[in-house]
Amino acid sequence: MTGKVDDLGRAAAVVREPVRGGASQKILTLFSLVQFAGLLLLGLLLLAPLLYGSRYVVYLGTLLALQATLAVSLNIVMGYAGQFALAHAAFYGFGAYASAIFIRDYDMTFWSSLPPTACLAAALAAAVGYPSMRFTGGIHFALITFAFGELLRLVAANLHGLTGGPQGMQLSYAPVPVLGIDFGSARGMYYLAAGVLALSMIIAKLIRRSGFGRSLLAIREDEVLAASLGIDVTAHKVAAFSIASVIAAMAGAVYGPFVGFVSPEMMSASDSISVVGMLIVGGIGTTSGPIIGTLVFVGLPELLRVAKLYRLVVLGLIIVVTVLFVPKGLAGLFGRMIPTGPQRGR
Amino acid sequence: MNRSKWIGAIGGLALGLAAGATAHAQTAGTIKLGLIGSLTGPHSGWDAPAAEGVQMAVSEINTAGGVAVAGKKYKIDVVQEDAQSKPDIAATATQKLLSDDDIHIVMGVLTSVPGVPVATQTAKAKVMYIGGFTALDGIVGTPGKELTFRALDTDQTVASGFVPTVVKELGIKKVGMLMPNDDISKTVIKAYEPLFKQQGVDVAMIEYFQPGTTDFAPVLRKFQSQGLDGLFIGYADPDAEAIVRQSLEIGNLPKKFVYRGGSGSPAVKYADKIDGFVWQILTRDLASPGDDKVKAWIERYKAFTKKDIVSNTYWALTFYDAVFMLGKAMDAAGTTTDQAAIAAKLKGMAYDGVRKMSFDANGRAVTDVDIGVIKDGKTYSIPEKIL
Amino acid sequence: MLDFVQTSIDGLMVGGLYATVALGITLVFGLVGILNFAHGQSVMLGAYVTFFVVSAGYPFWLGALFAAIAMGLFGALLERAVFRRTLGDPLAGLAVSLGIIMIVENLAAAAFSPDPRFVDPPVSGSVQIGPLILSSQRLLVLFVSVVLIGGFNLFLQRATLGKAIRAMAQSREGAALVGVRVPMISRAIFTIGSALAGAAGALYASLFAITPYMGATPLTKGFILAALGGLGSVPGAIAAGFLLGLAESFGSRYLSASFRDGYGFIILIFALLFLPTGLFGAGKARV
Repeated sequence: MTGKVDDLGRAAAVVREPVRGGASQKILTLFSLVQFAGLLLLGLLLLAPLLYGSRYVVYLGTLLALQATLAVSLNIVMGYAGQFALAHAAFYGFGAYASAIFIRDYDMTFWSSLPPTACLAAALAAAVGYPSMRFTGGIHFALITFAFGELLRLVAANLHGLTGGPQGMQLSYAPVPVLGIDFGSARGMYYLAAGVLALSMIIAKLIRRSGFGRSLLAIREDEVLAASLGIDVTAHKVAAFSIASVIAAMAGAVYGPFVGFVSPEMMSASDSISVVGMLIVGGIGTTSGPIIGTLVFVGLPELLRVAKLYRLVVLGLIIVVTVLFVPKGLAGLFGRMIPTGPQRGR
Repeated sequence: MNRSKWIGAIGGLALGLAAGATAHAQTAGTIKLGLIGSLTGPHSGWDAPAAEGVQMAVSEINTAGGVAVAGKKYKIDVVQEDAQSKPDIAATATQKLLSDDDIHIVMGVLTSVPGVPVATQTAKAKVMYIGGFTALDGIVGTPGKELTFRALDTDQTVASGFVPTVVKELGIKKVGMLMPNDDISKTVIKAYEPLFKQQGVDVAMIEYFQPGTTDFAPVLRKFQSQGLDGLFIGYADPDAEAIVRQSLEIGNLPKKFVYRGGSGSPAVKYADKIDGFVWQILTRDLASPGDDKVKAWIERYKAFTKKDIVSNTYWALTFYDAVFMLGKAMDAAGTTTDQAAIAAKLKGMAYDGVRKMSFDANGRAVTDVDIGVIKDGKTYSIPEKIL
Repeated sequence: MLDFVQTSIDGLMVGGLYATVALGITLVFGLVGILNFAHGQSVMLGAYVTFFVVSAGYPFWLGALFAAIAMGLFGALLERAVFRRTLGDPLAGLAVSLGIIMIVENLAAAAFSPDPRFVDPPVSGSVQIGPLILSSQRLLVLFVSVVLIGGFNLFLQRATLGKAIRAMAQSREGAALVGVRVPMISRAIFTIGSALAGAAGALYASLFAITPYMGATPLTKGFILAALGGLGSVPGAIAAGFLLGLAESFGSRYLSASFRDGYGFIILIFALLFLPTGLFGAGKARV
């Protein structure tokens, strides 16, 4: 797009085809090569924990994979649709609890508990999302999800009969072996978590490439204009939020047998906020941003041998610096210029 | 769509893997001790002193040349990991310790939520574990957990001597219990309620407040006009102090308090306004030590940590003694690496260190406690002989 | 009946504290468009400043004053160094405030140790008014918060700076047109909001235990209130503050005390759904 393009035209262009600048055509070819290399490296990255003998590395890998899934799924609603969803950790916990309760009270297996958990999570997200996403601007949605997340945590802490109350639930089940692979072992759990991560990345990618995804981007740019183009803004936003929340719930279902223990503490607002932080540092709206952000957020404290509390201070500094000086996140440092930020005055 | 930045990411991960997988060679004459706890996050208030106690004991042992086992002396090398007050991080950190084959014993963690994964994983890996959190009560002594120990007395142990003393000192007949809504409270109530009944005291009401509450006025009002003459007030100092102060401010509430915590500091400022305050000194009285051994320990603690005594410091003392017990168990078993043998020797061992401490056949600690009383403006303590 | 009245008063006393915190949040968001999640840290730091001043032997009111001034400066610093660059981009403002929370909270924990501390309040005991027994310190807190809120309103109505703020609330462009220097006003708003938070921290310290992690609660409640009252609306924040205090008080007293924070969340959710612009807001900033 060259020259002066009015807002309407720009939004329309976003809907009809991905934005492409003229000069970056050449860079794109280069990127394609790098894409392939990147895919290869991603594969290696995913396999690395399995090549290492150490259980610790496998555990760390599983942890990272689960956290990255949260970031990738949050990216769908925050990065693509531009909506601040601050209850992601609550859905994570919801998935863990729901799956555990289905197994305990309804005699289901790990695998058979996943579909009902997903349905419940979707229903919950729609129930919260629909009334609150009717409004433009996103503030209502942000605050309502924030309050809802905390509410869910308090409910989990108080319904002793169902959830075990504040002491949480000790889980002693493991996923039943499928196709001969024992998902209950440490390695198996890693496969599972990595699988969920890969699946979520594929879903995110598919969305990004689809008409649905382009509509989301248009909504992120300017809701009113998107509506005037015939997009059902609320339905799209709610759909994005539901998808993201269901993925988070699935990750939660894997968390259960991994740690062996679920407690209301995993649904705290500060954890939801951490996922947002991961996205921002990595680069909101980008493809690899969530992964990078997770690696930095979760991996950095492991790597930094600096005394305890100061690790988090350093992390905070990284966030501040990233937001102020590298607004497109670490991924954006190298990546293609993707239109960012909901309302940069233009 | 660009993935070149993943090169950087992979580089970072590779570095991390390299760092994590570096094998520590165990030189002859060294014992590696795993230490885990929440050094950051809200649970650090409890775990940090426990870690300090371990570090202090190890430092003293090493300065004296090391632990004597079967005639040889071994220095102790502490490998510490941060659980960050979260269960999944605690699980991963435990795995990090477990990945080091030279670590046969892990200590630490005083809070249940990060603690449970630590206990289950060390047990699965057949590594000895000495922790402090309340949920350990339900874990220690069960099948598969022969190497798991709890360094703190169970509520049952303490309560059986505590309650009769309380009733005698305060002369209460009808109490209300006000506890935070968490797992520790459930255990406490299960232990104390029947004991009160046995002593002829009516536990008329039990109320839970949300953990983190600072404004107790509304919930305290529930206790008014119920004819209560005593209040059982939780286990955390800030909560207790707030409850005492606020109940005095609101008025129409009992002025006798029973506290399942380890310090009298919640009531010190109000000593002349209340009718009685009884608490459990789960180690020895650190606030007004009468014992020379305790006084000396306090001085060493201050010198080692450059910090002053706070109410959570008694966990430092608990784990301090536990480290020395461990050393003795190793000596008795004649090995520094066979955790099953060491565990077997630790069970049933009685130790006279800064305080008297022992472990029963299940791995539960049984130690003497003191009972502190503030009454009629006087502060004193009564020993509760358990051992 | 007496119990009902007492519970109401308990609620109002705490509500005044909440309202003071909410004022800072609603101002900053409504007028400058920044969701400052680090606002709770100003409360926490204000509490600690008070603690140190009082521990050094100085009177409480001096501690509170120091807290307010120190936090005002802190707010100005944040605005100039950080938030100035994120104007107009709430996402960035939110993000950067998350980073600030991590920095401040953990530096505080490292410096002050996580153990809870108590501050000796300036007054203690209770007063009896008729059949009512009221905590003296809570009465003082209520009084001070009302004075702060009232004083602030007066400032808005009378002082030049206050009028400039109101002008900006009504229309940014309009205000700039009549010569109001918007960047300077932004800094002023941050400073005042933060100073109020600092004062709230001092009041908080006089009643309850303080820890480096205490910033989360006033923050959460503050946002609930700001949203409930209508973002940018001063009367809204005040009304919401007292309303929340009452809701918590009654909920804890007559329902379950372990669900205390939940009552506020429920109210917020329903209010936002049915009154999207809050109790008093009109969708725009209104002062």
